[in-house]
Amino acid sequence: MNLNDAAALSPELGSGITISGLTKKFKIGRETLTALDNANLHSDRGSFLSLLGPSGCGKSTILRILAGLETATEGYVTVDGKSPAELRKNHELGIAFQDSALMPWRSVIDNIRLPLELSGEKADAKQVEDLIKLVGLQGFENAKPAQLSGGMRQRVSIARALVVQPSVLLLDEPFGALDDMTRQRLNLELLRIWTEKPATTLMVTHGISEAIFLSDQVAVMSARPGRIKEVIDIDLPRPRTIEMMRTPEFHALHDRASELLFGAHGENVIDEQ
Amino acid sequence: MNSRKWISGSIGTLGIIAIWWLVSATMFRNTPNGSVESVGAIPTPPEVLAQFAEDGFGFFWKNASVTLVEAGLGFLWGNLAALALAAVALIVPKLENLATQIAVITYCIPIVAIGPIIRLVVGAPGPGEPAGAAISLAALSVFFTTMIGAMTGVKSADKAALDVVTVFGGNAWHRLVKVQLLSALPSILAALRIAAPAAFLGAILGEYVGGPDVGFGPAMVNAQQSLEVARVWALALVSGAIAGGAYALVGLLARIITPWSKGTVGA
Repeated sequence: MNLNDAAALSPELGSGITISGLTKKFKIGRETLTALDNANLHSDRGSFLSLLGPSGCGKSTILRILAGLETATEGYVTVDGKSPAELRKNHELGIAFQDSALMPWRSVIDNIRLPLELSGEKADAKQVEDLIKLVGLQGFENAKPAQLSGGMRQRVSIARALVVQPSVLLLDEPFGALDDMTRQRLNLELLRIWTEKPATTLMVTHGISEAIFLSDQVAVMSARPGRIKEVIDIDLPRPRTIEMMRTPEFHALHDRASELLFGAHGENVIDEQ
Repeated sequence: MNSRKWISGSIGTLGIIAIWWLVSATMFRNTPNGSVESVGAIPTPPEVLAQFAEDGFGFFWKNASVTLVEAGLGFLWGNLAALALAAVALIVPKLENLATQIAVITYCIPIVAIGPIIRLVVGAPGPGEPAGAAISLAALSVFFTTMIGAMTGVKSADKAALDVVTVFGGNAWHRLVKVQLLSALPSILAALRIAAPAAFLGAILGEYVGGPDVGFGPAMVNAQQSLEVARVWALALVSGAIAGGAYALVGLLARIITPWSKGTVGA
């Protein structure tokens, strides 16, 4: 609570996502692997930040540290001035993985209610109902995950992430396992959902177009060791529309990101679809 | 699909009965078995059926009820012990190897060898009572499968689902209750399904050494010693049917309790 007040008093210090000098080393046998090397990033409260990079660039490591699933070797991350452990304890985190990670024995609505059970909040039936409507799953409330398509499972997963009205929404390649068409459609959906329920968001992806289309900032990363190469500000106006993807401004941003990813010598490989 | 399964299953059963009949009616027809009756070493199916009718339901029920009580108690205690040991191994990971070793030892000890020892420890049962040795051997027969089933089940929990519970502020208890135990259910129930007939057969073996005066074990020994060949066969077939029935019953329960384990689970 004190930290909350402190953040409110000095928003310039604690607002949004702050990643400072973040380094992560893994020990594999006798060798030490640097997954992440001195990453620094800041994004404003309520903005959409994407981490874009090839496999093994440490982008998921940043997300997992922010989620409190891993600890940093050096440096720190905060959201609105709070550490991941505090955020976790206060039930302020929302997360969706590439694998929807739904519980197969729970219905759609019970899966979405899970975070409320963990936070001990009383489930507000109206709120859950609105959320189901928002992600377009009306009529499937009592379906089991096995009865849903991959895209629908990801919708459930996103609704579950939003149900606690999180301070920060973490998306780990949320549509990475879906086919290209479903993926594009869900990106549009995500944009609509995010516009209706704005949350400070960190998304990890290896899709250049979706990163630019959704984000306010795209941090382009390189691998071995994982480093943040450059942060591109996406100055496309909001609300964003699908037509914007065909504008010269969009193409210029896309080219810039590709150049950073593939490098001058094309030494980096990216598996963009 | 299902009807085809039925057909192939029925053909298999009928085929086995046909071969049995053929063999018993030809090769073993006139083998001397010392019996005063005209039954060969292998009785024909009608002879076994006639024996059923002659002995009547009461005879089988009297023996089955004792063996079933032994098997049921053994099933209960053996599985409870196995689940308790699995829980200990989960809560204290350092004890996992030790727990697995105990389970493996119970599996490797020949039941015939340990039976007499148990008989000496628990003593002989009173007239008409279930034998302690039979209960012990039934418990021993189910211990390994259930313990290993529970361990693998809990470990099969989806890593991402555990991460989700952690990120939303859940602790180890929440992970256990909301994810791991439910993930373990299908494999625990699969283990219990195998354990059900194993407990019944363990109880019969236990009766051979345990010394009860009623039960399938003594009934078979008596029938064998008095050269009632058809009765030995009838008893063996009924105990096989009971073991199969126990397997099917637990399988049915599993399907009711864990419907999600059937069909495709979310990828």
